[in-house]
Amino acid sequence: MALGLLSAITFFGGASLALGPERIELLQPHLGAPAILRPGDALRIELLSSIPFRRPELTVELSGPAGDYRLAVSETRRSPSGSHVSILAALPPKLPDGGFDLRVATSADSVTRPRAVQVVQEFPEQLKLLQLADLPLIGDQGAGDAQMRAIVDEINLIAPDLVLISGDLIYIPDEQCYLKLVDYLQRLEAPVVLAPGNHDYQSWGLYLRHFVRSHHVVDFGGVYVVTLNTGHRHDQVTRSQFRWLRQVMADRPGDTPVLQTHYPLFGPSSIKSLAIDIAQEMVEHAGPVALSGHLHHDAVFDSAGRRRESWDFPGPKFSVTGPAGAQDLREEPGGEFSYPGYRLVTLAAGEVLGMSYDADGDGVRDAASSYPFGRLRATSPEPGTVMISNELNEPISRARVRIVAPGNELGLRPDRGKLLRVIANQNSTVYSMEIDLPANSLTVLRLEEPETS
Amino acid sequence: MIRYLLLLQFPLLYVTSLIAGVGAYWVGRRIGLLYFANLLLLGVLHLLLLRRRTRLSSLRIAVPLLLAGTAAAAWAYRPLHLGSWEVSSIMQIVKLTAVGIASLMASHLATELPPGGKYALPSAVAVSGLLWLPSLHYPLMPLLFAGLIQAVALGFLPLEGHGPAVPPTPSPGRFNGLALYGVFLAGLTIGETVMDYQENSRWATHLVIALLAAALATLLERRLPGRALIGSVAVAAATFLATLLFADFVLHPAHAAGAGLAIGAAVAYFDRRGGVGGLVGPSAMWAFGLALSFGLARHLTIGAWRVLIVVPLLVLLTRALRSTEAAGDS
Repeated sequence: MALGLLSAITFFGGASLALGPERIELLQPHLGAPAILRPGDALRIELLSSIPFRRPELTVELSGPAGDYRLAVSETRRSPSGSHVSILAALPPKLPDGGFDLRVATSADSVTRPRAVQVVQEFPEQLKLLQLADLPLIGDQGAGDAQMRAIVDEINLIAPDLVLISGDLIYIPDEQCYLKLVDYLQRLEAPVVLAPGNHDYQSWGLYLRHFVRSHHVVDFGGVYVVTLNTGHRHDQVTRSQFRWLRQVMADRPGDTPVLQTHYPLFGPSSIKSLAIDIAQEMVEHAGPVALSGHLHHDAVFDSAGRRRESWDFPGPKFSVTGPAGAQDLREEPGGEFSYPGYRLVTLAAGEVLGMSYDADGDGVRDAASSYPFGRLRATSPEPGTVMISNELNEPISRARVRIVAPGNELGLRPDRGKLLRVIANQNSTVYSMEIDLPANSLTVLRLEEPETS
Repeated sequence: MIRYLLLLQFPLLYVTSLIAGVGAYWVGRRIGLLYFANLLLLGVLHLLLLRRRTRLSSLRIAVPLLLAGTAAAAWAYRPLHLGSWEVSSIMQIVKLTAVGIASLMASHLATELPPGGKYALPSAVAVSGLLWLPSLHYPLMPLLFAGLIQAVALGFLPLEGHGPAVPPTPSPGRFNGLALYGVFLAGLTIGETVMDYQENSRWATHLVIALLAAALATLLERRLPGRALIGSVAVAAATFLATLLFADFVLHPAHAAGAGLAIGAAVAYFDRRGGVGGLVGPSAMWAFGLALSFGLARHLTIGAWRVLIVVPLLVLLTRALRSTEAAGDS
């Protein structure tokens, strides 16, 4: 009798200690695999409750620079145990562009995922996609962090529709480094899609804590970015991921897949199995481009795994991008050393319009060259003026520039470019503008009083 | 049934959770050595416990042991519930080692108690399998269940007073090596599923299938002694070979079922030959199979070399078939 009582107390005490009090975990969407939606679209949220057989009552909110929005939950589906919950919530019909934090709360707990939702007014017909891999050494308190800050500024200036970071994000397995990385990612204005790399497995628990999933799919209108985990030191895509990839592609007939991996499918130090199978899936589903890193130099391959000397061959392009960080530049097969860079891919109607850089300035894009970092800078010599230096051999279209004007002067206008948004802060006003930057140019942009007729 | 649950919670819940956690969430290079050291420590403790002279089922040992086991499991599992494996945490491996020591000792405690009814073993294997179902949402929950079983055992086991004990020793059978190899093989192949799915805990369904198949095999072994074992190991060997030749086969539920049949038949065989204590050997082989699976899957580039693991199996299988034929002739 006494042992029975002790047994019951121990059982329920142990279970309560381990499971309670009730907590929730937001599985989807999240930073690194955000939901990209238009105002009025339905947002699907997946979450998990710590206590099985409980049915939490939920509230869903978005918060961003322009304010907080409470979403109406239109559908809640629970697993039989009630622990796994799938929610559909409608975005408000009027919502500004930009990234939003997602907050889901029960009566007992709440969880916030930063930049989990990105709002766009319309999906562009021509998609500007920026990809980088093998980031600088974040957390070293020196060159790596300075380089990362410059990279964030430069990407914001280019203003891509989507940023893909293809693995090797963190080299120091420390929570502080992850917090820094999260801060950098939140400063990026475009939505970010992450893939894990082999170095990220040094702190895999932390990676999953911040970025939740190792492989995922992010829809962007008629284009979807499908990310596979190749960083797990198996150096290959596992069978279960391949099956998942096939299912994802089968579920989206007519849409355009973009594949992201850390290890490339082809070339030295590529994945060791299923590469041809995955390439075949890309061919069958008319995938225009697969993007990867890891090799620390640029290259492009066709779906048979042959290295190509030009980028505009028919069929999917399997590209490798050199490192974004400068700490580990390697010699390319041609004998030249790579440089810290990024890839700028333009997609329209399921075709690649451009994906490599004209490094030698002969007017022809190279086969696989990435765009070098550090050639595009914006400085503000005085309030209300911005000077943009484009030292690239190519023009940058739809660059996004910010000018900070002192005080709350809302009626100013830029002397060129297209005014996108004006945000008044306490002591200043921020003007966001869109402008095309010619190749090898210096552009000065000023705010002026509007002419009165 | 609780007796068998207590016996099997170490290999089927604790060790399997540990390997699943390491396989799914990975470990850093240095910490990885500590996880292997943990398994090594438990192996040494297992050998020491086989030679013990003290009765673990006496009240003054069993009560604090089972209480400590439950508390340790709750303490170690809490950060893993909705959380992730902290790959660089030494504290985590310390907690898991504490759970492992208590779990192993509780398993040995169960060997001192008389076997239960006719269906106690199949029921316990089936329940152990079903305890992996919550892993679809909470991947490492069986780690907590290993502790909770100890709490339940506290109330239901016929614990004894003080006194010396004669530790039960399993009697070696004719197919001893083969049966042990079957269990080893099952551990080896099931571990691969975890490595494939990683943090996507759909691997739990394969464990459930394997252990339900194991429960079925324990029933069959009672009906067809010996022959069910050979048949089950042959099915497991075939699925394992197919896995080596066609990588996607590792995910096939039939493969999990085949591996489960092998472990179930072997466990029932040992149970019949040596009473409850006879299961201790398969427990160690299960753990060894899982651990080796992790080690091999970590470096899949050596995949072809894994074929060598099958060689001793073929030798044992041939010998077993000859023995069966000789027995038939006589």
